[in-house]
Amino acid sequence: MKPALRTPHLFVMAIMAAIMLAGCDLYGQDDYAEQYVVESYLVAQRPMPKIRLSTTAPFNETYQFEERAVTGAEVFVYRYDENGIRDRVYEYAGHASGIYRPLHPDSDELVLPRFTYRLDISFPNQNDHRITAETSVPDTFSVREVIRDETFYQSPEQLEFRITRNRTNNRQNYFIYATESLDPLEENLTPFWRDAADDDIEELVRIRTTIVNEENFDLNPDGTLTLRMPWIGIAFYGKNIISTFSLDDNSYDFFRSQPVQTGGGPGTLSPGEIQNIIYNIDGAIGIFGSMSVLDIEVNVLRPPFP
Amino acid sequence: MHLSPDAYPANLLPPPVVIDSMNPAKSHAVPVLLALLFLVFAMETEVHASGTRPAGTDVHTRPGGTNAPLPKEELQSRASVNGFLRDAETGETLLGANILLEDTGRGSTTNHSGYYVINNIPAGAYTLRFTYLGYDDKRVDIVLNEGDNLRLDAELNPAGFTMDELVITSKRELEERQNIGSASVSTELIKSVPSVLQADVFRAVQLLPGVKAASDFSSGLYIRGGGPDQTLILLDRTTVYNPSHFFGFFSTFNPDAIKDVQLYKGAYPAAYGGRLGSVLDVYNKDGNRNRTAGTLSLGMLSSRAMIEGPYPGGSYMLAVRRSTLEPLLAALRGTVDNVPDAFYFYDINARVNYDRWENNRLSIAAYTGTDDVRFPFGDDSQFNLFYGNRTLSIDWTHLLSRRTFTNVTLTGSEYFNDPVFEFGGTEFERRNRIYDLSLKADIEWLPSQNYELLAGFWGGRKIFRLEDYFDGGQTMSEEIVSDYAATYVQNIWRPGNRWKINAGLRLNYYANGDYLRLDPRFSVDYRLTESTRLQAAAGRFHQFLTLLTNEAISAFDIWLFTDEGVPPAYGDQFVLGVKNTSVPGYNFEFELYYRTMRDLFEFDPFLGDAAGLAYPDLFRFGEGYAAGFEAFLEKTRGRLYGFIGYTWGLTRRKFDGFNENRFYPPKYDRIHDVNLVANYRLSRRWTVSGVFNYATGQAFTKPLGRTEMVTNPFDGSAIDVITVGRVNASRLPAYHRLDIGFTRKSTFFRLTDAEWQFQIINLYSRRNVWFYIYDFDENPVKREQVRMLPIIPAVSYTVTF
Repeated sequence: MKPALRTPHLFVMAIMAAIMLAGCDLYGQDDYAEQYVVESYLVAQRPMPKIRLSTTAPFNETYQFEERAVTGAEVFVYRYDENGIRDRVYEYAGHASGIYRPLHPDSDELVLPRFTYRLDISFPNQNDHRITAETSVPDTFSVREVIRDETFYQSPEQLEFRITRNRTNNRQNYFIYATESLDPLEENLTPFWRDAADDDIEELVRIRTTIVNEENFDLNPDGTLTLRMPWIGIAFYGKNIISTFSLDDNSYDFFRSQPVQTGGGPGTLSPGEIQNIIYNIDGAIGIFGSMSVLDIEVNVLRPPFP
Repeated sequence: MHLSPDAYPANLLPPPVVIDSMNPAKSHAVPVLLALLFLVFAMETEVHASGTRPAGTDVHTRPGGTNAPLPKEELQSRASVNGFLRDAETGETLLGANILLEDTGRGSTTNHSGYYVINNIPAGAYTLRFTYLGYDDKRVDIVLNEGDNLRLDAELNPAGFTMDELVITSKRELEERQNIGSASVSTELIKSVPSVLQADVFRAVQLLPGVKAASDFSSGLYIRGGGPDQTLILLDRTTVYNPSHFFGFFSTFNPDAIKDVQLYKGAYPAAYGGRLGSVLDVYNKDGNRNRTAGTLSLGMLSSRAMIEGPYPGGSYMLAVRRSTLEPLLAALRGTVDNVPDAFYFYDINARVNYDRWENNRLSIAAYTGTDDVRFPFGDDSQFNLFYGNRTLSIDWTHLLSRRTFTNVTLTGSEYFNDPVFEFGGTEFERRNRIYDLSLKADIEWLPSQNYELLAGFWGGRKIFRLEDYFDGGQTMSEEIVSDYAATYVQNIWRPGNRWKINAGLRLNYYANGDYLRLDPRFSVDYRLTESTRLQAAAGRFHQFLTLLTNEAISAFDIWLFTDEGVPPAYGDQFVLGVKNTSVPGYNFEFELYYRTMRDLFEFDPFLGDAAGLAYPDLFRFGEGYAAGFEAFLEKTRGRLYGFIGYTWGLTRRKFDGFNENRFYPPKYDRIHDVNLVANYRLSRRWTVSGVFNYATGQAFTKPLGRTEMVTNPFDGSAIDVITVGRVNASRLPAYHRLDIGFTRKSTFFRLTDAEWQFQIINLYSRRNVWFYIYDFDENPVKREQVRMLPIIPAVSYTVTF
């Protein structure tokens, strides 16, 4: 009988010892560390963009960009042609707190599709810190045929266009659609957005979708794509400008990973698990991305029957 | 109530317990002998040809000349006794019951068909003792001559109610239920412990050490560091893919229909496969073989009805459960916003059993369950969830001989899930289908008291379909049709009265990708003293599918399979255990485990739109591990009975490109977890039950920093960015909750038995935190708690006839 009684005691002691050891969690919470933040978007055939440079703020503190703006940085953007040869250097200067713009006359130059732009930021008083990023601007595309640019809201015959197909890095295109109302009156709100608007309709004047892959649309035998505008992208009846953005890899990574932090995306992360966004920037967080865009004006009519 | 750790692999014959070593094993063969399987078939055919005949023996009589001549090899092994053990009132077979040849130390337990065999018994007069938890013991005197092969079917009467003793009389039976890594959950426990809204199998299983719940809202099983997809769930030997109702709040298994629930928490034997972690094996009732009976239960969320009875040739069972919320919803509609247009769920379990043949039994079991929710929210938007399972199994059990038991099952399983969302005239629709057709065959052969061989085959075809529709057009269509097969052999060897060795091999083949994987399994059990056993087990496990799941709501669950470029996940498990029964009325168990998870594949959480992507691009790949120990102390006697279970556990994952490629804990990781389940019989009519759970707060990611992007060219809106350090390195406040319930036995107008259950969930209304959300409209950002269940009273009324 004695061995039988002794054995549980040993195991109880072993359990207690294990519990004490287990009290040490080796995977502890780390502390906040300030990071540089870059924000800049190059849009093909539009002027060279400004670059916002700032730092992060502790999460539990008030955030104001002006308080976090970084001045005095040396900012350059290098342009490379399709063969990888550097053909242009843009020097940026901080015209306003934390906002850097190309020095005149470079500010008038347009972003060229298919060219690669490399960001290089250094800090005179921080010799060892450097921020670099690179983006290849997607090719432009155009409307081959306007199939329908005026129709009744939620009609089965949707707004529809046939566009040329640009190829980016031998992958399918990733689009974001944005709609800007040219007639943003409250009485023009569509039912879904009226319900979502609360009291402020200003934020609905321009709305955008999440990323929509090219494969969602019909590929025509002539190589063009037929785009059908989903009705959820229309917030106001009347005239709207629909902008179709074709994203580079940096923008794609940023805009597919950012919504996941606040519960978007496929929703496979457990509630409360937050992952960092995919930034594709060395030495900082943020985005240095590019895109090409196509604007089309449409007219959305009120449905004939409520 | 009883909750006893259980022993043997489902559908396999548990081994006899050898106390003496009078009859040394003749077959100390090297384990893993596939060839033996064929040898068995060949040999058993010979046995039949030589005229062994089944002998219908009334257990209340002393058998005499019921034995036929046996071939030479069986004569050499002297006599044997075998048969089925059933409930005397219902005729249900009793699984895991103990049969002891008194004063010899020889014995056996019934397998998952209620069949037992005791071999190699020297000629003589014996008393055979049958015991089973909750039943009166039964003793039968028998006389065995050399070479006898006695068929002895027996029936046990359910134990009468006793105030002071909950009957667990058989230490041997208890020991059989204490095999490494396994546990058994009684239907009595499932029905008696307080549970939210209604009794539930999974909620009861979550009380066991090593098993965790993701939240109050989830019935998903998180076992030893694995997610719900790492547990194979079988109903009548058929895979069930999403066994949940009501957004995952509780499981689809109707407690009225269930006969047996076996859980293998880890290092499970070679008879099972296809999951990295564990197995939950659920068997429905056969149906009452003696009289028509049933239950009717009215609850707050749903009501249940079950009827069972005999018919010429066998028995049947039909159990139906349906939500009963519609009248309440109808009353609320029009006065309260956001009331679903439709909301119902139901499940039906049916089984027909034909067992008039002495050596054959045929049963057909079917299950269907559906959840349907149509929920409008706001103007011009709504969602519709429609998902469920259907299973069908045809099971044939055949006694090839007294020593050889075979089982063949044809199974079919369908999982469907069709969520539809509509926002402002734009529709998102997903269709996920799994069809799984399979054939299983198992054989159990006991050539001697010290050795048994189990072998089997499981093969079939899985058809997986995933279709996405956006705005009326199909944006994704993936179909994977794959044949699969697995074969196993398992050897149980007892080289003496202290040792038991279980060694097996399982070979898995998955046609898509041409994956052939071998899983060795091994366990050893050493009896240190009369009441103390030391155990160890190890094995390799493969998994050919993964679950795209939202922990908050299981209604969107989507299964994805391995294919070209997506290899199966695999892992190793190591378990050490100690079981002690030295104090009468108490059982103590301790298990230590470590397991690895490699080639994990999960749906990439950063993939917003999967259209046009190659199948391997849908996934992120990673690895993980889990370690911990579990202590379990059970009190089985007296007016106060119950158990306390403690788990110390740790689980980690890492995926390429996430958390800087560091290991991190998933949300459900809880370091400490204590469950206390207590029942007290106040009187013959009243019983009070209580469940208390304390657990370390779950892991969450603490936001460390923030910034804002304000110049995006799309709409210029502010984009909030959170910066984090180590993912899930912080902990929510500790979780604790106390549930109590009162059960009052009564009669229904003196016509039949009835029972009231009054329960209070979360008695002191502890608002446990589920997760935090962040309001970026405030500056600084405001953190808000999303909490779990408040106090919930519940009442149910059950009539049994």
